[in-house]
Amino acid sequence: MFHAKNPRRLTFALIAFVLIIIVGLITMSKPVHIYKSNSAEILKSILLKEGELTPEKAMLYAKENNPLFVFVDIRDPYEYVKGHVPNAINISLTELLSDETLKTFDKYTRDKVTIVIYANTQTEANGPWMLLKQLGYSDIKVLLGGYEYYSKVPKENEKVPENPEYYVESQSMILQK
Amino acid sequence: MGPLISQGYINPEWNFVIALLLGVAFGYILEASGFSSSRRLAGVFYGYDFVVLRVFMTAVMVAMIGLVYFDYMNWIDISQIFILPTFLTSVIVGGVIMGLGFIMGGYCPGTSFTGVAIGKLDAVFFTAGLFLGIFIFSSAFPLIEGIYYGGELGPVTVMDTFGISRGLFAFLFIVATISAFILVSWIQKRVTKNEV
Amino acid sequence: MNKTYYFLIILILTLGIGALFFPEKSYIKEISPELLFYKMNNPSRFVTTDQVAKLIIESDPTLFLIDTRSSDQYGSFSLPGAMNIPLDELVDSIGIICPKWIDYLDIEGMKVIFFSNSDVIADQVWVICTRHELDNLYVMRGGLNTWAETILMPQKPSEYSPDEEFALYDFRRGACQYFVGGSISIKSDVVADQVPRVRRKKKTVVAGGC
Repeated sequence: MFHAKNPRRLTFALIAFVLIIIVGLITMSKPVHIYKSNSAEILKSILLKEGELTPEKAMLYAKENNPLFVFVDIRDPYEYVKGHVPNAINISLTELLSDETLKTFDKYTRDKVTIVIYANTQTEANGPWMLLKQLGYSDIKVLLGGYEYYSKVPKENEKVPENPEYYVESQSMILQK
Repeated sequence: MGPLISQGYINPEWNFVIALLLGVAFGYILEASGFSSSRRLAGVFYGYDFVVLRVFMTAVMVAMIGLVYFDYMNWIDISQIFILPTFLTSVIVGGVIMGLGFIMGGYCPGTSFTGVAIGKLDAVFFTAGLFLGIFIFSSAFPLIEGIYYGGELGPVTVMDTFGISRGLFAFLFIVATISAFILVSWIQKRVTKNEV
Repeated sequence: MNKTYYFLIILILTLGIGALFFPEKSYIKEISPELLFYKMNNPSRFVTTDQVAKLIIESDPTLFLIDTRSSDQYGSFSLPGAMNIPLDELVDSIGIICPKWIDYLDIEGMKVIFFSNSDVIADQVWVICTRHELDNLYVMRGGLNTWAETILMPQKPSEYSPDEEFALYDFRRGACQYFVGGSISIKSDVVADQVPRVRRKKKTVVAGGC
């Protein structure tokens, strides 16, 4: 029989095989951040518009200091100092994925507090908002129109226009002309 | 990380060089396992020598465990691996022709070349027949094109068809193979005893 | 039977049992969240309307405009040469980008520019596509509304503005002439995509065989 010819060869092959698998299992690295929802779920939630907060409501919640909402300003600290939503916390964009930030977000999620992300424009906050949603923070909203429109919200006694300007995507200047 | 070529770690031009090296290694292992002897190969049909079954099934098991584990360890992306599409008719017809040729000639295509390499006369005849067959097949291709492309199923796998996980399939396959090994060693013992 | 065989059987069975407990992996092609975040913060993913206008006028062969609004809106007006990929049809049920779009989005050497009325929807499309390993994607800053403000109705800069602004104004006036043919009114027949698009070779070719 063949195995009798060179029994050592089998042993070597065996040790190599087992070693490779052991080394692989030991050196396996676990990714720090994992996507918890796929693109289909994200798209569905975008289309349902469940993650949007109008500036009027935002102003209301901020004024009454609603404990179920926390405003997160992702602009840099200088802009935050110049003016921000009352009681908003400042987490600048570069710190968004740091352990500390995510721990804070985890805490809010546990306490069932809705996180509202905003920046100057909605587009600036859109990417971070979508990223956090994909990382599994489901109770997170984005401020429609951003801080730009928040500062222009009509007073309580004024009439709210039918198609408010902060629905930036439903404005079409070209078709109006 | 892997597969190295489709992920761009190795230039696709190296394909043929790698294929050559793998081919040399394959031929060496076949010869070293005694696969250049047609008596030995045909033994699997008569029940006196099951080395063919043992070598190939062991190779499949090792490769399978390796792929499953490497995939788990993120060394290789199994979804990137090329899976040959299944053509049901040509697989059945081709399998019957190949099986008949194997019983009659005592070689399969790969082993016949290792036989030629060490100068076996029957292997030379077998290879000549192989090339004759290739010539006839290519000349008659328009006639048998329907059979060749018949029953296309695409790149199907057992896992997808039955909806089981890769790990479960690997485990079941290993259990089945080991049972087969035990069964054939029992058959072999009985057949060789009778002969002696 | 040799003793080694028992050892081999036990080893391979153990490995097989180990394989039983591996979790199911998803094989959707995607980049890591960190890389997505890094790309998101790169400001060069935005292009201005002036740059887009220049590329269209020069009929840059590597330019590929994609309208991410609904097909109704696309039907009434779009940029010349733009193709329509509505946001709600981008992804299929298992969470990958619909294969019919991949052939257009994953082309070597093409600059794919997304636009919508503003830039929010275009940005959402950008985030989803970038997650799925697509490259060379851009967002037109301000979208069609900024396009209308800057290219179709350019504002004359004040007398004391620097020369660059006048140069920009001249360029915009010229671009306006190019796009609306002198008159300010916009004809809906500017709708493009009469040119049949040729599907080009994809970046990755599935290769293999035995």
